Amino acid sequence: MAIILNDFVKEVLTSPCYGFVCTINESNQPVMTRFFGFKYDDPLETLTVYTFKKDAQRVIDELSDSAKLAATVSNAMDFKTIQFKGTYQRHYDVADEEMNYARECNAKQVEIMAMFGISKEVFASWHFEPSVAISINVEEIFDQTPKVNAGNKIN
Amino acid sequence: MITEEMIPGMQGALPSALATVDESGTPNVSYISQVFYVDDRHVALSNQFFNKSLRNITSNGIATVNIVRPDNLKSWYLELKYKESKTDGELFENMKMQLDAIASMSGMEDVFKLHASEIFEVVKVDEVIMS
Amino acid sequence: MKAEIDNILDLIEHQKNVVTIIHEVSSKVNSSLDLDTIFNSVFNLLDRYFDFKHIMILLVDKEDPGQLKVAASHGYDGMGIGAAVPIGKGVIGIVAKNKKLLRLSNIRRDLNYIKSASASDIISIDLPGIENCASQLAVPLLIQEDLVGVISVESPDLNLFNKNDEELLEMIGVQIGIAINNARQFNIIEFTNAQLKDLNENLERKVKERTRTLAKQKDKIEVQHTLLEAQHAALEEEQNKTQKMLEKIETLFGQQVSKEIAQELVTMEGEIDSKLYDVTVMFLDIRDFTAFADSRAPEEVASFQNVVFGELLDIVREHKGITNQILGDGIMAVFGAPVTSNSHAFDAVTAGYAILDKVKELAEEGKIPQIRIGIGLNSGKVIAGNIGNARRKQYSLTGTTVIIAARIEQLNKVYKSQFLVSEEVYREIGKNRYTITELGDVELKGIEQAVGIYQLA
Repeated sequence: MAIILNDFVKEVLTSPCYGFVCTINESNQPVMTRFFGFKYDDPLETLTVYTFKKDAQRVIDELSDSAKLAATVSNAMDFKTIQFKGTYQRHYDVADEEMNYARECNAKQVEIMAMFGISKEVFASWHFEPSVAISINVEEIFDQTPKVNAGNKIN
Repeated sequence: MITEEMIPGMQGALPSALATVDESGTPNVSYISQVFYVDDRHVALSNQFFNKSLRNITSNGIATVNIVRPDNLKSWYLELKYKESKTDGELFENMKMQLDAIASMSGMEDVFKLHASEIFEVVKVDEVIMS
Repeated sequence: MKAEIDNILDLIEHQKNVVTIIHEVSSKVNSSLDLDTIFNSVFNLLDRYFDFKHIMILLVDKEDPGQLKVAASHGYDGMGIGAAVPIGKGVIGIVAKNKKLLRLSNIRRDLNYIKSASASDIISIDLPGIENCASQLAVPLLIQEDLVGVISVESPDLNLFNKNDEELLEMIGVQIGIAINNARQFNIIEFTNAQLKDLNENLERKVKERTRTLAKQKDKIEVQHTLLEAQHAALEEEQNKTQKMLEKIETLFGQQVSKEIAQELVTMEGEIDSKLYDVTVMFLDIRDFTAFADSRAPEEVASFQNVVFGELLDIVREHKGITNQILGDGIMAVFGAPVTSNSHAFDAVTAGYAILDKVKELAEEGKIPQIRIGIGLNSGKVIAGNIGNARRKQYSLTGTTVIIAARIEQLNKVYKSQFLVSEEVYREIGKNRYTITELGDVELKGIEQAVGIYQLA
């Protein structure tokens, strides 16, 4: 069930954006971690987000076959935000070619953080290696831009 | 629970991720501009739009929020339990003043109104692992 | 651990700067009635000690009370004095409307947020301030809870101001409120003088009137001077305390000298207005305190002060008085305000005797060294009231009555006495209750008429 991405989603995904990925633990408490990069296919079936392994462990520990995940991507400048929801597909340590791509993603985060007034030096205190990738079978996409009635389904 | 060190992460310099869960057990993540410090066991969120996150919170009372210090990026996850909605008092007035000040700069004070301050108890604090 | 120590050291440094700046601002307020001079020195001090680069003071527009106008600014290239802010618009306008301070950390982002979340097009309202402002702190300027203006600091940097800056700017705000109040009172007197000048054809009378008004004004400024000097002494004491703290890295904050007054005022119901009261004013001085203090260890001096002042404050309170100022070596107390009383003179006299007895008793028990104290009392009318806002109040007394009381206390040196009162007090307390020696009419410095002085001890 691939989802055809519309212009709005593509615009947000290619803009300077940042995100969090989230699941819930056995006591129904949301558990999340920041991701510094992602990759996706178009039409969309799988969204893969890159996270810092040490902090992502709290999320990974909760990932079983049927685990539900949400990942939100937001443009740092205009607040346009989309949220992906779906189920857990797999997770793996990022290596080789893919790690090079992930490093490029992290480098882009520098400019996003600069928009928030965070310097390169300070940004470097957020380590991202070793990285772990979390892949989600995306089922739904929502427009999460803050406004009245935010949260409309896009697909 | 909330230490002095965390307070700079609660002044709205960087957006905070707010994670909730709906009745079917699906997580929901959105961004909010500020988590407000109330006291060392409580925080508040502003309710301007009645959106999904707040519907989730008020139905099951559970949320996790991420706060970040802008000076050194130290961050924390706060596990929250919903307590009550306030529409008056010093905290509400202060949050309302903030919104009024910004909205009135754009002539939007009639559109952007603070409906309520939503008060949460902090039940657990986890520091984000940075390195 | 190191981070904690650094934090404490930062806090101490901040506190030191606060003490210094309040000291300097209050002495400026004391020495000048020219608001521009005062505002500019406030700006320079805030820039020097706290690195505040963009500061403005706005005052409520006299012609249109629905808006504020920029009265003075610092760090705004070419920004026009007189630029207007409607009450209720923007950070400054909202602070004015609510009469409460406001601190914002990321205004740029918040504005973007409003823009992106708005369906309709946005008009941007032109308000004075820096472009690209991210952080702003604005504090209302209040006189007796009435809004007179706003002081605002801003910066293009994120998250720049904190709780300590709020407290600092509030204290500065109180001082500016005092300055504006002083200037206004002065202007009213000036205005009255001008009217008298027009109305009065008689030159002699005119000169007389004017001289009297000016003399009153001079007296008033002298009283304010006395009060501010007392404040300075208290602040210096604070500064010494801070110094000790540095050495020990112990937290000793909170022993504010004015706590006593604050407590008294907090227990009052309702507001305390500036009004005319019939009171008895007491000045008390510990003789040769400086010599005593110099010859002892600081701990001994402090313990002596704690014992003596602790007792004095209790006695004053037990006799329905309030201690208005604590100086290093003495106190000023008032009986009959803010709660009016018919027995203020009697209360003050019995309090005076009780103090003399207590000091003697403490010395006999060996709790303090043998000391001599001097007490001066005078009864009459004073203007008393609070200047400041609900959180920071300053209860001040104004009038010749206060100056005369201070001068009478000083006469103890001349007569080698301990307890002197004016004829006004003597008349109030009745002649036969005490052993009283009449010393006759005495000329007092700065007072036109000689004052009848009586020795009670």
